[in-house]
Amino acid sequence: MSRYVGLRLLQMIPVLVGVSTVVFLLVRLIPGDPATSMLGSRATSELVARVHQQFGLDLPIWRQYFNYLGNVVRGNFGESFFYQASVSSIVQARVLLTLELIGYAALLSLLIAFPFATWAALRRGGMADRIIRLFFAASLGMPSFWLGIMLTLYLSVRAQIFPSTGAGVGFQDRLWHLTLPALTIAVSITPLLVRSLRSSVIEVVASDFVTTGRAAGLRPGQLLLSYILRNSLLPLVTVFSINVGWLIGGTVIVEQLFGLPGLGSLLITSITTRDYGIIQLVTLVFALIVLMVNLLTDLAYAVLDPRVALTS
Amino acid sequence: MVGAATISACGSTAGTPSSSSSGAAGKPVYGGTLTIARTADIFTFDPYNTQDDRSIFTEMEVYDRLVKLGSDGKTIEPELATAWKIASDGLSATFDLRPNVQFSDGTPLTADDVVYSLTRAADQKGSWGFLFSPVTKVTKVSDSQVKVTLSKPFAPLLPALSTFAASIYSKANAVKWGTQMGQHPLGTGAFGLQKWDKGTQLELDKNVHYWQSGKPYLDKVVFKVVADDNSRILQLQSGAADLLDSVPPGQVASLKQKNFPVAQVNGSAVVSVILNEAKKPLNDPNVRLALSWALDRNSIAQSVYSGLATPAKSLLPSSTLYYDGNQQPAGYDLAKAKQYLQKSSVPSGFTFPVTVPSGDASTLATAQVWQAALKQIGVTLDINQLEATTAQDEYNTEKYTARISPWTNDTPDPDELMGVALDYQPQNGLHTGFHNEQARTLVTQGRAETDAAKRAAIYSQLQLIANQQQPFLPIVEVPRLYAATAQVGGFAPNTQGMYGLVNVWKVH
Repeated sequence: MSRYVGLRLLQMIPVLVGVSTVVFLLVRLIPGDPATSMLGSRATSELVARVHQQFGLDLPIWRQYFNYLGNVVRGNFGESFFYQASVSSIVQARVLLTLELIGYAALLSLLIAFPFATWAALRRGGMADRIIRLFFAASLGMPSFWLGIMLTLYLSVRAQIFPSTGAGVGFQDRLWHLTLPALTIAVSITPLLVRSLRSSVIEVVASDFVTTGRAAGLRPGQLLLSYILRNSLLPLVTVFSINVGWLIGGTVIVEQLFGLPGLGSLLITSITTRDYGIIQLVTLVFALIVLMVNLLTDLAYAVLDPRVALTS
Repeated sequence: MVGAATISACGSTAGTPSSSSSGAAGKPVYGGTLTIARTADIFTFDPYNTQDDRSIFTEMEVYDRLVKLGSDGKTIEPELATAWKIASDGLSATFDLRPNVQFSDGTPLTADDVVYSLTRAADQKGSWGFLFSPVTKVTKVSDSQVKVTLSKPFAPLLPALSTFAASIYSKANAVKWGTQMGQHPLGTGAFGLQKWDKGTQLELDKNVHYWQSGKPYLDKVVFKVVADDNSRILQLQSGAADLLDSVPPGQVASLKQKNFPVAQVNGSAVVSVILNEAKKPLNDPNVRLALSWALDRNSIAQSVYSGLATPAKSLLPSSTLYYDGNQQPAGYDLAKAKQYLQKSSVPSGFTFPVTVPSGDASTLATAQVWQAALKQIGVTLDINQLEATTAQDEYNTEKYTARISPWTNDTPDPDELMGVALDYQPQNGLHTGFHNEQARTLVTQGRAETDAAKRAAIYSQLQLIANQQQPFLPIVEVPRLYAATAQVGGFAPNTQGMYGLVNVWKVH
């Protein structure tokens, strides 16, 4: 197991190098550079040249790239043009909030998906099933920038239950502040989970071992929790891991909407200001999150299904 | 042409503390924190290389200047200088410094600090040196007097000294921090920097050593970054923010209806079409006039800006000194537009693109109104939406064909805009490629002329040339819009974009 994990971690290195190379080149392909965003309309060629020199942008691109790689190996991700501070310190200060938001959104989506999907599956074809399916089909079509504003309008401005902005201080306050943003993201991914969980529960319920269990006199609650749900989890884990990228994409919009100082809002600002160093590190962190979740998914398979063997 | 707007739902007079419709903010109250939600964070506190408006507006709060703009937006009043004298030959000016002024850390303001700050301001290598081009040196006369020496008479001196670029800061602090000074400001303003979480939140604390007794009222000002327009408004409604700037014009009516006072500062910004004369046939003045007469300025002011904008009659914003709206401004007349086109090099029409920053709904709608009118005279307008920084790059490198963007004054003096727009030397006529020797001579004369009547004549002449040649097509004059909760009192931003937080209080 540890050998497997070690190997998987090693395999991440070329992927991360690939991601950073592509991003390094992509940000420099977009017209406009840090000097454009810093100097605006008053950019004279003299001022632009000075900014370029200050940040090493006057060097040929291959030299910039090797300087970047050399620094990254030494753990130095450079200076931010906009914030005038080290890129890693800025990203570090924000990464936790984004991870919390992703985690909270994932948790909420599971908490919503489980009861509804199971209920729909057990009442297959009935009124409850139809209503649940219709409702989640509709929620799939709600864009998060709209849903976030509606949630703020009704639950924060009118009902004054949740705060409309900020990240909060301390565990409870943070949880309170992140509820609406996490719910906004969760709503976009829950329908996928409901759909996959519902169909796998239906499949498992029809299988022989459930009939056997029922005949052997297992109580319905025990049967559901220990046998049906455990066996329905595998497809759910797959759907979930595939959609982690989607969750991360959700944070970019939602953080902007709720004024949360996380990586998503940082990425948007940094693209506008052409803050190359930050764009490079944030995309790297996002890539790392996706890779780690994929690894955890594979490990979860082994735990959930003893037939799955971890070989590389 | 209101120089200062006071926040008020029932429209009290400019410059005086407000009374809002709810009456909550009638009398100044001490203490409390004012939270302001803005679209983005600032870059720097160093005026030397400041570029963005938000940095400018924030520097205005942390630093004072020798002189300030009066509440009428035109006269110059004392600030750190109590009096000044301009030499009879116009080649120098002496300023008496206000005694017993302290920086927010308690150290005293000295003549050396003033000399240091203004010498840096007038450095021609700095981004704003052009505002002070005839200044040759700034010297200390005595502990309470400094002298500004000029190479030739310079009429815009006092207005230039009222801009953020002439802010006065601590020399010791600036030397200590060097290039990092922009992150560590120390001024004599009503508020000092307390904490800065880059990209998220900026906190200013009351300067307990502030020279105006009894001011400021607030203990703390927090600037929060909330990028989304709708989110900012919801934050005001939920009480998470007390004040917003950059309110979308379309939201003003609904905010007023919900009893959120809206402040409007008119006359400081003109939205124009900028044309690149390197792209044919835009080098033909008749073509440019045809395009200009096809701009339905009234309808844009009414429909795009919800009636909050007014048709522009000059490239200068109307609060500028020597603004002249009578110099044959173009209006909306398609018959006239057709006539000009007939006289031009492309009588049967042509096709050209205009760049609009993506996500900017007002500019896009403006372009669409223009597009519809141009179609009727046989001209096809392609609207290109480009990401803002990409659009900026396209403009700076002069690859653009036409662009719609606002010009905002930092000083009430016309020299700031005329010096870059109609004199092709510094920035190729704001990247239009408009070369006009007569205009260039007039710009130089206007800068040196100290007689007000003669200056007025020069700038009227320049505005006439601009309207006849139309290197820029002025469209509408747009206001700066702010919204607050009814608890906020005394908020009176000026045409320079200064919030004036020193006079603001919050009922709590």
